[in-house]
Amino acid sequence: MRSWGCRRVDRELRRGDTIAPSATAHAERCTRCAERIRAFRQIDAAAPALARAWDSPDLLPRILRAIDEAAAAPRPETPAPARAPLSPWVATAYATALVVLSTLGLWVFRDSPNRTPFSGATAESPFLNDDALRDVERKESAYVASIDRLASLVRARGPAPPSGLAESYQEKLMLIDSAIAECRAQIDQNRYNAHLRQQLLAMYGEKKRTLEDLLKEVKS
Amino acid sequence: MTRAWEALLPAGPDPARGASPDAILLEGCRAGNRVSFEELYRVHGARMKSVAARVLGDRAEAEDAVQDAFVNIFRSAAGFQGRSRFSTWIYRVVVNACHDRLRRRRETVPLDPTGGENETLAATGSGDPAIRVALERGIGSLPARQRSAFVLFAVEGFSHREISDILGVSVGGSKTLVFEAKRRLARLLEKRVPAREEPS
Repeated sequence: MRSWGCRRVDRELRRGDTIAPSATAHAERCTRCAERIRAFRQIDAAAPALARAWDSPDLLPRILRAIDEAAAAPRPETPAPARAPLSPWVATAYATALVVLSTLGLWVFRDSPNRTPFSGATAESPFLNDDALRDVERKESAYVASIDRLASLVRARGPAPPSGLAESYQEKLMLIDSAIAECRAQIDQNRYNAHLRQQLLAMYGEKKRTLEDLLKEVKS
Repeated sequence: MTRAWEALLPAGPDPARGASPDAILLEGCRAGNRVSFEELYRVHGARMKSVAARVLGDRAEAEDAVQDAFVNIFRSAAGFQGRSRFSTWIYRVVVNACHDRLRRRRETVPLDPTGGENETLAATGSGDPAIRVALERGIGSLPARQRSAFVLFAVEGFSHREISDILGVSVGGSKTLVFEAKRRLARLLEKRVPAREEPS
């Protein structure tokens, strides 16, 4: 099980700056994190030597020839604009419709019984009280555990087929994980902020949808 | 010493005299000036080749990608809007040319589990050779964007801000791509390089 300290080490390594003393102190007690820090340092030290340099006397003449050919070739005609500009009347109609729809949406949202996702945070005070915080953390843990189960299900299916879509989902998951880590770091600083909790929940929701899409891709 | 790009400027008072080499090169490339492309190649060609070679894993294909990139720069320089530095944008064009080639390669050739790393890029230089060789092979197995981000950051020394412009991601996205690349490489190193004590 990864502890708070392991996540902290990950965060520091992701940030790529010098590792904070608290994370280093954790690594002294955690073999896995110590190994990871050591491997990252080895990679950082070895990578610059991988830059390649070689002579290619033919390349510049080739490039100049290719540019001359491109210059001599007839330029493709500029494509027509995708759509004609809107007349002022149509633009006004669109704007009015947008305002009406936004007002309607706000009105419906205001009267929705599920408007506040977390009990304890109100529009007047966007901060949670202790009871609400415990409730939120319990539900959040259950939600995260269910998403982790989904992630392990994806892993159990084996590596995704080498398709562009699967690769895109994997990258999207990485970016979401990164955003979750950042958000968690902010929550660590301010545990009672309901707004941050809502953001985190939205990210987990997105992660769940992406995992489901990836699972479909792996199955197909 | 007068550099080639300075010779492109007309004599006499000209606001371009105070312009950066980047701006002067851009103007020359927009005008299709051969000397500007020669200067662009002289200044950036080696690094463009190195980036392409690491992303593609093959020197000959890297040279082709750099040639593609120069033609694309010639075609697109007029539309360059200056949202990033010209010297950063040209690497975006190179990396895109490499990604196009990787996509085409994937459509026509089954994926090589080693990432298609070519022997002509065999490791040389200082440092632990076992780690370098493992890294050489490991880079080839990374997904294209992680590979590009890692090469740009760890091998070529671009900043995350520059990589965010080159790859069209946020600075945080660039850090995540590099982090994930290193995490994969670290796992590969564990498998391929026996653990040893770090020199103190």
